[in-house]
Amino acid sequence: MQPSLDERLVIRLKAGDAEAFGELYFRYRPRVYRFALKLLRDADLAEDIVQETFLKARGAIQNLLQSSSLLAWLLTITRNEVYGHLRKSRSNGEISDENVWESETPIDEVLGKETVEIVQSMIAGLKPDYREVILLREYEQMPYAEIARVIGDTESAVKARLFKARKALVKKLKPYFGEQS
Amino acid sequence: MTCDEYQEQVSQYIDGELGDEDSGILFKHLSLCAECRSFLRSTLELRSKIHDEMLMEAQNQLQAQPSRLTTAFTLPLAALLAAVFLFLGIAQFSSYDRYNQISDRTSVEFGQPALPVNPF
Repeated sequence: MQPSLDERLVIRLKAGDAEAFGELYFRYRPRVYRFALKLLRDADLAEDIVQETFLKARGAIQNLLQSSSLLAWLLTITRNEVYGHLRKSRSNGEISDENVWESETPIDEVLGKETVEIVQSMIAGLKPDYREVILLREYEQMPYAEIARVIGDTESAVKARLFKARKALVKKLKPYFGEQS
Repeated sequence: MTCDEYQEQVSQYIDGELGDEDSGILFKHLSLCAECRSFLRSTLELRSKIHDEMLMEAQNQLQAQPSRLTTAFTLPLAALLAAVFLFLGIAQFSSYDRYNQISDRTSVEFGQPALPVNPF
């Protein structure tokens, strides 16, 4: 079987091919940035996280065993960087509890906006641990097993979190959707 | 099973993570339950809006790229055109020069005055 593009890239990266790292950066930077941005909601900070992620990736490339999931590996590093930052910036350090929402979306933030933008605002209002599963599933289209690897949890936890996040989003978004029964 | 449990299965179903047997049971329930059907419809609509956003994002990226694409195509094109003009200029100059030489020789041979000298 032919090795995938990722597998070939990993072989080159491990062999120390200087151009391969540039290729990794150009191929995955937009998705790493989007993930960081949507978790942090701060463009400058997301940019810093991207730089840190690729620096860490460069240093850790020899430890990468699963060559077919480069994106999952990069997003795991990104997530660790984001959560490291969030832990530093929060006094209590813990971000998980029963409530799905981190912040209420102010009503003036959705007034007069297209549904797409309202959906964006609502997703941004989710707590990071709910937001991340939505991002990995809906934006990156990762299967549950891969999401579980990225967030370091079980598949059942992924299932449960995705359902809770969706249920909360759907409840808030119903007035904006063209509902027919 | 409760509607909440069926809705959790709806979430798995739209992700392609629900087995055939469970999907069959879920669809039997959906045919009878408007609330769960509405949940399915809304989760699909949520997905569709996220896809719209991704599409808009991709379009914005494409619109931001033309400058790079333009540079990539216009620079070689300009160089090619410059080379073509240079070549044509040289070719024209050398053919004019050769024409003058022939004209000089012809006018000498036939005793006629030479053609006017190329002012350039």
